[in-house]
Amino acid sequence: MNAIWRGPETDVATTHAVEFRGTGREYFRVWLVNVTLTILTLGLYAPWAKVRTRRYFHGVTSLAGYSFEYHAAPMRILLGRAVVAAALFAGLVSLQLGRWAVVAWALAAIAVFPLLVRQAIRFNARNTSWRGVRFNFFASYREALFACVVWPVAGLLTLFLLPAARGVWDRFRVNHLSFGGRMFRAEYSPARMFTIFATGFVLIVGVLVVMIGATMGVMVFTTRMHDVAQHFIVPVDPTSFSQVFTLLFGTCAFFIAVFVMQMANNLTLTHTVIEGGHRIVSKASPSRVALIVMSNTVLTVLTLGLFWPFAKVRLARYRMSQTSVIAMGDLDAFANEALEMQSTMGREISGLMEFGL
Amino acid sequence: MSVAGRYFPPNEARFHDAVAAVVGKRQLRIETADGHVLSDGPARGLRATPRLASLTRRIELPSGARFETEDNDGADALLWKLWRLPRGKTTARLEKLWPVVAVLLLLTVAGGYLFADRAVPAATERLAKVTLITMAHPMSEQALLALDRFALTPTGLGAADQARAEALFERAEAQGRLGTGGYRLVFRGGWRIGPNAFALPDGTVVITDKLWLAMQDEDEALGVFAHEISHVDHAHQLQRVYRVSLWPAAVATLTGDISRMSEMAANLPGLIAQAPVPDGFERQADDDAARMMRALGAKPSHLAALLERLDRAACHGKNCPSGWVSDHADVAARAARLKAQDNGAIADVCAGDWKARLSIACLRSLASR
Repeated sequence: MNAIWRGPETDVATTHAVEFRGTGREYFRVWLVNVTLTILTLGLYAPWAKVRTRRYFHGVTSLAGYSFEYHAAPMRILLGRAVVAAALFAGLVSLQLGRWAVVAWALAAIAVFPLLVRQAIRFNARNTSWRGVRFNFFASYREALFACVVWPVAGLLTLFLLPAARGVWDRFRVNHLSFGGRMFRAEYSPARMFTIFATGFVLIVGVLVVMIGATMGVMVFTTRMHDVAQHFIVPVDPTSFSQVFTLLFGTCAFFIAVFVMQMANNLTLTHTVIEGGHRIVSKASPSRVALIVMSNTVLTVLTLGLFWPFAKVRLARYRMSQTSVIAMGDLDAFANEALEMQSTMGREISGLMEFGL
Repeated sequence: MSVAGRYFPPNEARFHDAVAAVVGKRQLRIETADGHVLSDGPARGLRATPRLASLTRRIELPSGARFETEDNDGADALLWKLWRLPRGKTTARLEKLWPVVAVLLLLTVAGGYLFADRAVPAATERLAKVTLITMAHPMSEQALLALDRFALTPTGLGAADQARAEALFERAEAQGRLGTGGYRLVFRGGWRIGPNAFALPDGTVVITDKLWLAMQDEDEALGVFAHEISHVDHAHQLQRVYRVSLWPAAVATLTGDISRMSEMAANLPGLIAQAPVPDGFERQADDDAARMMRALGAKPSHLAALLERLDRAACHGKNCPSGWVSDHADVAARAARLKAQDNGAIADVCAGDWKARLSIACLRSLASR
């Protein structure tokens, strides 16, 4: 931590590693109480559970000695969920009214969806703070519509546009985020995201080719050398063979998917700059993240879900420990200025429309 | 008493090491270690974050200043003295008593399982039997009409065959809950559905020509009829319909919200409750058939032989077509159970006092069920 060097200008760049001091033991208890109360209250406690979880993960994550804070009021989340539930109920009602009612409802839902996503992101940003300074999120409806509906749909329909959709989404999340009035900005060539997805595609095709080759090999082996093959346990039975094939391929595909997603995360994070020159760096190794996610999944299934809180902490700890902020100049002065700016602008408007999901 | 922490002046991101204490009449005073007073004010307008695990506790003062401390117990005591109810204390206590919470959760899940395993089937059986009286006939008529249009053809059996079947059916009928005349045997071609027989809620038993021709002796026919009559007696068809629809309804009513959690909860029991249903019903019908067959002087092992023969005939090709033997993986177990009942019912290992109910044999039988 705190490697110091001289930048191109007179400012001193200091690297602050993000610290994560959460433990599985501690979060397990929080999680257990959350799950129990949620079940006992028939789901009504869920918003409180969500706030407690977020507060915990924000609270144990710190930068330059100061932890992050999460301030959301659970009632606001309950309100947001009630709104969504009402909208879904309207959908059920429209089913009774006929075809045109369903079409109208679906169009309305598509139109409202970006608003909901934007609202949820904004809610979380506004309720997150560091050193008393809140984050914020401003995006126009048009931008939200393109990031949440137009690009993802185009990506799923054409597949080769998926990396572009991911890039648009990442820039939507970052470029509208601000901290005490300072904007975040992620800029990089779209070609880099394409390269990442192309790598994933090549890996998947490679795995498929190798596995089909191996299958053919086994088939040739068992038919040509019938006498020898008898002495080996080869899954020649078509059903068990296809199961083995599916399992192996599924595992590889899962690994590659997580791998690609982490590469994309690293790309966006590492190219994120905060107004004032501070930069974020994420060095999390994609293969390490993929291994952690896979072992977490296996252990969670084997323990009937009991490993889940430990898994969550394990992944967060690795990701956070590999993330750092390179601050240009004095971070104290930066935080102070941001706080002053915030107090002159006034606290966020907390109206009825402020709700989370 | 005093609590050590960090004091952030209003609108400043920098802090001073400080100590907070309650003085006088519910006044919170914050001062540096050498006694320099940083803040002194009444408890009014003061806001504290709820306690959570070992997170830093934060008290926001009306002036906009903040006091932070790692000492959660101290902060709770401080708030208590200020006549403020420290939030998050209950959950903190629960987190400390996590084994108790774990047991509570286990009991809740077990309760939910018992509800799914016992209460839902009991409710569906009651519902199904109530429906039987009022609705069964029109429902069955509609079902048969639909089947005639899509899956069944008129029978090709001769009068002699039909008369023989009717005579055997009459003998089996006498053993059913509704007695002679309470059921009706119907013959259909239905080459598409293979060798098959099924019961409709109003007591109509449909048998396809293929199944009749596959039978080799009277005991087998008696067994098939008794099996179907048992399905009618227990209203299995209706029970299946109710079970599939009752779960989502129950879960939706209970949770009342459509979040991810309840979505999962709505799907899981569907999977749990749906899969073992036909299995349990088949077993019940087999056991009833065995009892009726013994009463008629027939041997349940003959029904087992028919099952195995149909299974062999149906599944020796590449794909198993649907038929009376729908789930061929289960046929071996069903046949074995039927064969064991030639000389009397299988002893219920769970009958008797609580010792028998908790015995290894009983638990194993429950697990295999």
